[in-house]
Order: sequence, then C-alpha cells, then structure tokens
Amino acid sequence: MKESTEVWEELSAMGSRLNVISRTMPFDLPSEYFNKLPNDISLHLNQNIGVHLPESKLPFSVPNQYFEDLPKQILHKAKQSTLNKKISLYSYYLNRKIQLAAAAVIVLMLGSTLGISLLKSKSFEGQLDKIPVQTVQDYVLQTSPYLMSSSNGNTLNTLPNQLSKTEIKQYLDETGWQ
Amino acid sequence: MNQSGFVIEDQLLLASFRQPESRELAFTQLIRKYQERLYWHIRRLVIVHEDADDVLQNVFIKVWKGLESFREEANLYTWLYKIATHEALSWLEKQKRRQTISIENDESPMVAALEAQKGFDGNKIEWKLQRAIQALPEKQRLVFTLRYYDEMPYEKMSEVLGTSTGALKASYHHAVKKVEDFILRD
Repeated sequence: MKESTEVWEELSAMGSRLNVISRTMPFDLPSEYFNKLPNDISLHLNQNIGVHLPESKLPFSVPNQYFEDLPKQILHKAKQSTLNKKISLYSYYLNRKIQLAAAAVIVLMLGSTLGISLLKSKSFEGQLDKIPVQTVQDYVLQTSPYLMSSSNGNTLNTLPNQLSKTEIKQYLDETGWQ
Repeated sequence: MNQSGFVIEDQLLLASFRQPESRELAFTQLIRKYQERLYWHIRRLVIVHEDADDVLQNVFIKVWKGLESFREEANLYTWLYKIATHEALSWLEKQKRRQTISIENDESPMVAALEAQKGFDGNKIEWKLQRAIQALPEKQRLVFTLRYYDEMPYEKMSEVLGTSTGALKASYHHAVKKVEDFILRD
C-alpha cells in the first residue's frame, strides 16, 4: 500500500510510531477472488433481479506474469538496442575502411597494370627501333606465307610504311618472334 | 489483467449506467473499479473472508438498486463507502444479536475470528495491530481504518459517517493512542 504523506505527517504530528508498521493486511485471500467477483455478483443479480451482467474483460489474454516481467524485458531490449547500435556503428566504420582499402587496391592494380603495359609497350618500341630494317624484312620473308607467295618484290620495301607498329607487334606476338 | 486498474471516471460510469444498452456493462466496470477498496474496508470490520464476501455482494446488489436514483451532487465514492459501512455494521449487529454479546464490551468473537485466520501469529507486529484495532470501540475502529488504511479525508469521512470533521479528528487521535498503547503493552 502506498504511504500517504498526509496520513504519515498526521501520525508524526501526534508523536505516533504507527507509521513504522507496514499497512499491508495480513489476511489471506482466495486466489483470483477479485477477478471472479463480478461474475459472482452477476449470478447473484441474475437470481434475485433477473439481471445478467456482461463480462467486461477484454477478449484477449496475456501470458502469466506478463506485466510483472514487462519492465525487465523492455530494459533488456533497450540495452540490446544500444549494444546493436554500437556494433552497427563499428561495422559501418569497418566496412568503410574495407571499401576504402579495396578502392586503394583497385587503383594500385590499375595503376600497376597500366604502368606495366606502358613499360612493356615502351620496351617493345625501344626494342623494335633497335632491330635493323633488314633483319625485320628477312624475318618476315622467312615466316610470312602471304609474302612468300607474293611475286611482287616491291611489296617488302613498302611494308614498314603500310603496316602500323601495333600491327607488326601483333603479328610478331602471334608468330612468336621472341 | 487487473481490471480494477482501469481508471474510469465516475461521471462517465453513471452516464453509461443511465443508458439502457450500456447499463450492465457500466455496472460491471463500477464493480471492478471499487471492489478491492470496498472489500478491504468490509473485511477489516468483519474479519472473515466469507462474511466479507457476503456483505460485499449485498452492497453491490443495493448499489444496483439505488444507482438509478443516485444524484450526482453526492460523491459516488462516499456513497459506496456509506452503503458498505452500513452493511458491515448491520452484519455485525446481527451477529451481536445472534450471540447476544455486545461487541463494544466484549470483543472476543471478533478476536476469536482474527486468531482463527490463516497465518495468524500473535507475535508479529501486523497481527498485533489487527488485534489492537479489534479492541477499539466500534466508532473509533471505523474512523481509524478509514483514515489509516483508506486514507480518507476527514471531509469525505464526515459524509460517510455523518459526524463533524472535528469529532472525527478527535476520534482518530484517541484511536491512534489506544492502538499504540495496546501494541506496547501486549
């Protein structure tokens, strides 16, 4: 039972020590008595006056101890939610770091691929320039079926001008010049 | 779910009761709202649960019959307490006549009922307090329980018991001293 300030103050003013005694009634009460009472009264009214009281209870049921346990459950969920939020924030930052790292790796890979191919390309150009035209002509004459079957001797002299360096490289790559 | 926990304004309940289609439902809600307070008020006076249950059911039957003519200038809460107090005192009066024993002069039947209660332990302070209350004269017992347990303001108590607030304060003061003396002496 709640302690009424007014009643407590009144007892204090009287110099009484009754306010230290619990006001909870020590009497025993049948279980569910107050839940059943309206039905008992309804029965009584029905027998005596012919009145039938409707059940005012809601047609829903709640599990035993639901309201007793509810505050504890809410507190637990609130704590869990705070923890999840922290984990979620941590995951977000972790994912962000992973994304940034992945982007950096991609940039590095692209950069290195481009760099390598550029170097490779430069290396090919350099190497090609170092090969005397005569050597190239000899090689082409030895390996190209098209040119071998050609009867036009001028074709070879015009070949470097007609084919681009890329085409030559592609051809050499395919035929395994190195 | 504890239905008595629902707070339903008395005026809404009364208005609902006056509508034929909602009369029974309003009355059931009224029972659920006041049953615990009225039960304990009666139980403190008659002690035995079965007796308190009988008296409480009679109270609500009377309320059903009287609610139609109930005028709102009176407070529903005090009106219900008035009926409950009257019914409990009538029941005690009947018991007195039946046993031809004056409760004011000899409280033994009520003390016997108290001592027969489940879990009674005369050494425990809460049972000593009940024993002390039973030793009070009837009017002081009523005033003491209404004030100490029900926390009823003197103005409302005056409506319930038909006594001036000054007399009620004096009565409560005497009752508190007697209860304390009883506990210290016992």
